[in-house]
Amino acid sequence: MLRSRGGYWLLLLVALVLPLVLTPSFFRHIMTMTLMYACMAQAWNIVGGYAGQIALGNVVFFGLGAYSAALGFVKFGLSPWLGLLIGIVVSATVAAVIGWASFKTSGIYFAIATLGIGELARTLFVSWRWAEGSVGIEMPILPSSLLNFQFHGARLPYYYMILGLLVLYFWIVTRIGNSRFGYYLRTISVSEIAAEAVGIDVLHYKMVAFVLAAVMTSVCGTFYNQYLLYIDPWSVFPSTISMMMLFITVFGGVGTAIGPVIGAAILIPLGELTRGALGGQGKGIDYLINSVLMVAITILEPRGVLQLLRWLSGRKERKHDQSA
Amino acid sequence: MTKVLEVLGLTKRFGGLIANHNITLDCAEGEVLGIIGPNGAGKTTLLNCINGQLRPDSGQVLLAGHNIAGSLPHVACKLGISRTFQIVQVVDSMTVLANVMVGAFVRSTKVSHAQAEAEEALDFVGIQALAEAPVSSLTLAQKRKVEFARALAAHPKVLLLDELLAGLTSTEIKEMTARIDQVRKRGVAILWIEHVMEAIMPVADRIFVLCFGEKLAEGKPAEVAHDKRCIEAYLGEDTDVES
Repeated sequence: MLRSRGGYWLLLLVALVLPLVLTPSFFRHIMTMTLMYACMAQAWNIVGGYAGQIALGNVVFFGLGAYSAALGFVKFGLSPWLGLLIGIVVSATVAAVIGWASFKTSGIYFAIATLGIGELARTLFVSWRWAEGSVGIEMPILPSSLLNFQFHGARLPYYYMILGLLVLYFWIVTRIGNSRFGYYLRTISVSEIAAEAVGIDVLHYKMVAFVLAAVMTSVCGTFYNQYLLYIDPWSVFPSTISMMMLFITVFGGVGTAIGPVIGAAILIPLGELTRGALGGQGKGIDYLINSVLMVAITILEPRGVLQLLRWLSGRKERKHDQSA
Repeated sequence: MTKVLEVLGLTKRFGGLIANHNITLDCAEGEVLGIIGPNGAGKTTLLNCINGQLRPDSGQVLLAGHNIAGSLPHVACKLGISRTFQIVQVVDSMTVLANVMVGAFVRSTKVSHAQAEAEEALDFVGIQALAEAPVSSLTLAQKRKVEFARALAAHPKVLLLDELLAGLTSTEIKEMTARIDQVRKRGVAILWIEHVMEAIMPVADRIFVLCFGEKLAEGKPAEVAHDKRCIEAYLGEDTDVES
């Protein structure tokens, strides 16, 4: 336990120092995106990993978070920080409605229902003229400051903000894992019949997990809007983002707090680097590589890279010795 | 003795099939009511109607005098009804201790409290040595014990057992039967479905016989064992059991 906790601190130290060593903005961009995807995977992990509900439309909340900040600023002159809060409220409300409607189904039907809702959201925003439709929204440039939530030139503040958010999310998920809520979600993920019989209000806990994930994803959406300062329906509502949340979590280690971090640290740089290296010719190659890796990990070790690492470091064997 | 659980005129249909027809029974504090009957008699359906997994078409389920028929299982559990399943429902990916803790969480949100309760329940059932083992590594008998411990960790007023002894060896059956007897002595009302007659007959205060969804007989184990209708139900009508 002490050893692994020390490992987390070391990881955090590396994350703090890395952008000071790898200074080119392309690398910093990759690192920022890696942490943002780790945050979103962490959010997905609560509903998809711990509660075992395969939500495939969580990009909706990313988009809502982004659009809340963008529209709030451009249309009403609201601070992006207020936009962040609006995004949270809107996402939580939408998640409650989607959850209420789609948790009546389960398993594959829940996955299909949420997938459909993700597609629906993009179509709506494309044809929503007031929200600038398919043209998208460009944020006016303001002086760099925390209050404006804009930083130019050195983009380091964005990196450290998203790192702080990831630390917070990691802490939240760790706390969930060691609480009654976490035990309940894990029970629901395996047997809803058993869960009900031991006093778990299954629908209630699924809803809480889903809304929490939505709120956490929405914050990432606002961050993305402030980071790129330009969004359109295709960049913030693609189904590929929903899929990446699942890919990263399952690849790293589903239902663990460190799994999504490991998954993002491998898959996102790999995707960005291949896309960068191949340029315009390599369109879709990154997804191809991701898919091959997914298939490989599913066959090799369905519990993810985390389990492979444990296996390699011999902790698995030692644990067996103890129990024997 | 006060009647903790009363079932009044309970009927449950599945389409045209009447799985439970006008069932009336009761169980008092510290009483073991054995429920027996041939396969397909509607025993599990009856338990499912009591703990809310199924909504009865008519009739009442009274827990300490309050009708809870149609309440969801998690509500029934909070009110004091715990159960085990004919097909064990445990979480393979979690440890034995964690599984039992989930049962204790219904009375307390505190992890430390749930852990203490779970350890006590595991100790009582006799599998404390397996506390840290993943449930996936257990035998069926051990999984049934985990489920039993999980139900006990919730401190139920009414305990519903659905073929707890199925698939167990004779030594394990003796052990489990002794534990059930101890639970009864704590004042828990126990409804126990079982096919292992030599185990249930000595422990049960009364036996309720279900056949084709209807009550066939009810009484002391010895009376039921010699009831002509019961023997017919189990062995067939034309069997000459007297000779």
